[in-house]
Parts: sequence; C-alpha cells; structure tokens
Amino acid sequence: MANLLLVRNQLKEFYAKYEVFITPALRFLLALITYTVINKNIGYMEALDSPVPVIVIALVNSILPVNAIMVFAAGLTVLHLYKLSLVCAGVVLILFVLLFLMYFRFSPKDGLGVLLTPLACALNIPATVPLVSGLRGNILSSVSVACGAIVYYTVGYVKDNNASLAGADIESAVNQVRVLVNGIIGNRSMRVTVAAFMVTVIVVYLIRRLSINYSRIIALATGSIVNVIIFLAGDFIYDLQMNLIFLLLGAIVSFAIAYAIEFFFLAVDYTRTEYLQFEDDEYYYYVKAVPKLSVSAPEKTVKKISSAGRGTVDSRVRSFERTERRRTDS
Amino acid sequence: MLNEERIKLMTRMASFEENEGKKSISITEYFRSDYVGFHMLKTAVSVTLAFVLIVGIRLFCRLDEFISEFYETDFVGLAEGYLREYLVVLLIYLLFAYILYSYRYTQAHRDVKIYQKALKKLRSLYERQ
Repeated sequence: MANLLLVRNQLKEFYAKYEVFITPALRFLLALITYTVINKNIGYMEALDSPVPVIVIALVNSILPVNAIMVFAAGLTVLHLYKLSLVCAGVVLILFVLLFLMYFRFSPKDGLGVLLTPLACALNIPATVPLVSGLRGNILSSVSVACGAIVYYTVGYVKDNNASLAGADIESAVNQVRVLVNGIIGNRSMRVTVAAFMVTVIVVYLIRRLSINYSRIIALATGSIVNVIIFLAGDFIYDLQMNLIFLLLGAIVSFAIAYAIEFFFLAVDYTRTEYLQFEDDEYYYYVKAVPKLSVSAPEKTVKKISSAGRGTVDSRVRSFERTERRRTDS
Repeated sequence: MLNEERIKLMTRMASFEENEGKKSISITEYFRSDYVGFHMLKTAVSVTLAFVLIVGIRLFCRLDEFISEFYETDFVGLAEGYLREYLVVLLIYLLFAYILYSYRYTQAHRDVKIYQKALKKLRSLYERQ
C-alpha cells in the first residue's frame, strides 16, 4: 500500500512538472489508437488506411481539444463507409449529426467518454467507462457514454454486414436504408448496453455524492453490480445469448481498472504548474505558480493505510500519546 | 513597492480567470433570463434539426409506399401526426434545457461571488497602502 501511495505521489509530481508535454502526448496517443482501430475495422478507403495520414492527423489532434478527435474520427468513419456505399455513409452521417446535436447540447466536455466507450467495448471491458464517468462527471455524462455505445454498435453492424451493404444502385437505395436503419435501431444488444451504461453512470454519480465513508468505492461496486444485473435482465428478456463468463469477468476487470484509475488519478488533485500574466498600475507580473506537492497528500495517506485494517499509523500515534501522557504524569 | 500579499491574491485570481472562472465569468455577464432563454433557443434549433433528420429518414424508408399509393396516402394526417410529435418532443427538451441552464447559471453565479469577494479584498489592500 505504502509503495502504491509513493507511486501516486511520484505520478503527481511528474505531472505537475511536465504537464505541458504530457497532455498533448496523451491526446496524440488517444487519437492514434482511435484512428488505428477505425482503420483496422472498417478501413475500406485505402488512401486513409495507412500509417502516414493517421500519424499526421493524430499530430494535429495533439494540439487541439479532445472533441476534435471525435469530429475527425466521425469524418474518417464516414469516408471509409462512403467507399463501401453512398447510402451507408449517408445514414451513418445522419446518425452522427444526431449524436453530435445531443452531445454538444448537453455534455460538451465529455469527449473522452464518447471516444473511450467504443474502445472499452472492443476490449471487452465495457463497464469501465461508465464507472469512471460516474465518478468523474455528472448525470449528463450518461449522454456521452450512450453516444459512444451507439457508435460502437453502429460501426459493428456495418462491419458485420458489409457484403450486403456494399455498392448498391440507386433503385435499391430505399430498401438498403430501411435495412440499415432497422439493423441499427432494432439492435437489441445496443439497447440493453445503452440502458445499462446510462443507469450505471447515474447510480455511480448519485452514490458518490452521498456523504458517507468510502462513498466512491461503494459507488463503484454498486455500479458494477447494477451493470451486470441490467445485462442479465436484458439477456433474459431479449435472449441476447451473451457469454456469462465473459460478462462477469469483464465486470470484475472493469471494476479493478476503474478502481485503479480512481486511486491513481481521480482521488488526487492533479495541480499543474501555471504560467500567469497580469498587471496593476505599477508593474507587469509574469508569474510561474508551482504547486506545493506535499500539502494535502499526507492526510489521505493516513486515511488509506488505516482503512486497510492494519491501523499501523493510528496505533503508533496512540502509543506515542500514551507515552507522552505517562511522561507528563510522572 | 512590490506587495507580497497582493501578488498572491492577484495570482490566485488570475488562475481562476484562466481556468474554472473563464466560463463562469462569461455566463454571469448575461442576465439570467437572457442566458437561459438563449440556450433554450439553441436547444429548440437542435431539436428541430434532429427531428427533421429523423422524420426525413423515416419518410425515405417509406418512399416506395408513397409512390405506389400516392393518391390513397393521407399526407395531411401524416403531417399533423408528425407536428404533434414534434411539439411534444420540443416541449420536453425545452423544459429540460430550462432546468439545466438555470442550474448552470446559479452555479456560475456562486463561483463568481467568491471571485468578487477577492476583488473587494484587493481594493482594500490598495487603499490601505
């Protein structure tokens, strides 16, 4: 435990020092992974399915906000689908516009949720993102997670049915649109997933706001259980034929990852070095404000160690107090 | 003369202006009714656009049906049905937007109040000098 806390402090220190480089690097990585996954799955347009354009766009993304990655990824997806069939690209474009309308209106800061949800689904740890979103965001984060899930299932549907969707002439366009819309909207797995994710985010958010001890951990555990229960209920009602072992394993791994993220990143206040400029009547000020790192951390440290049941610090403090009392008595 | 206390205060305020305060300050420059109304208008535009897209797709899916039964189709009834649906959806979204943006305005107002307190303190520091 002590080692983990040490690692956490070092991470914090590292971030405070090198934030200027870390954030763009992470954005670059996220963009790179997102575009690579898209290309691997639906890389129908060969011109875009090579490392050079992907790296160039990802480099551009490193200096833009996270939402830009989302817009670029949507564009890339539509371009690939355009190569497959015009109708397909049109329907998916309309779907993306609808999702963007919903997303930008209500939770425009949760771009990470939208991007990471499909990636987590692809890695079979789907519950991670709703759990972390619930801890980090608010009730509206459920919108962005839902958007991510819809994108995942849409792209999955197109990928699975690419043969029947490819290159239709304009006469069968009506039919193709009908098939595609029904395939996307009528996808029961998608409905269950969206419901499970939204409820999980809301449950985690509501519990973590309660003023009880360990509310965040309780929120994570409850969220995981609720998530599994909704999937099971969906499986029972719609007969989705989900793999139970995968579902449970995924839930446990998701919980573990979400807990690790909470421990290392969310529970700590990551302050960074700031460069500020201001002036008054007499001077211009160029201030470099470096966060003091060991101010709030020790309190947390004491709490965490005693929570592990060992009570080492507490008992040490108590014995110290006892000896002090004895000394003053004598 | 450089005044350390003043510089500390100004640094904190500049940090607030740069980060979390950026949005709050711009929000509180509006009246509440203007801010909420403007966002409700934006929501109405978004909902209208989304609704047009959805109805467009739904109609397109039934295109062959319309062509083959052009004279039997009750277009007025269809339009009325869609209009009614649109009004219900719009109303729900507007209500939701009203609650959401009123809440955001209140939050921003509370943040900026602390900032204004700091401003007052800064002025008193200057006057003491």
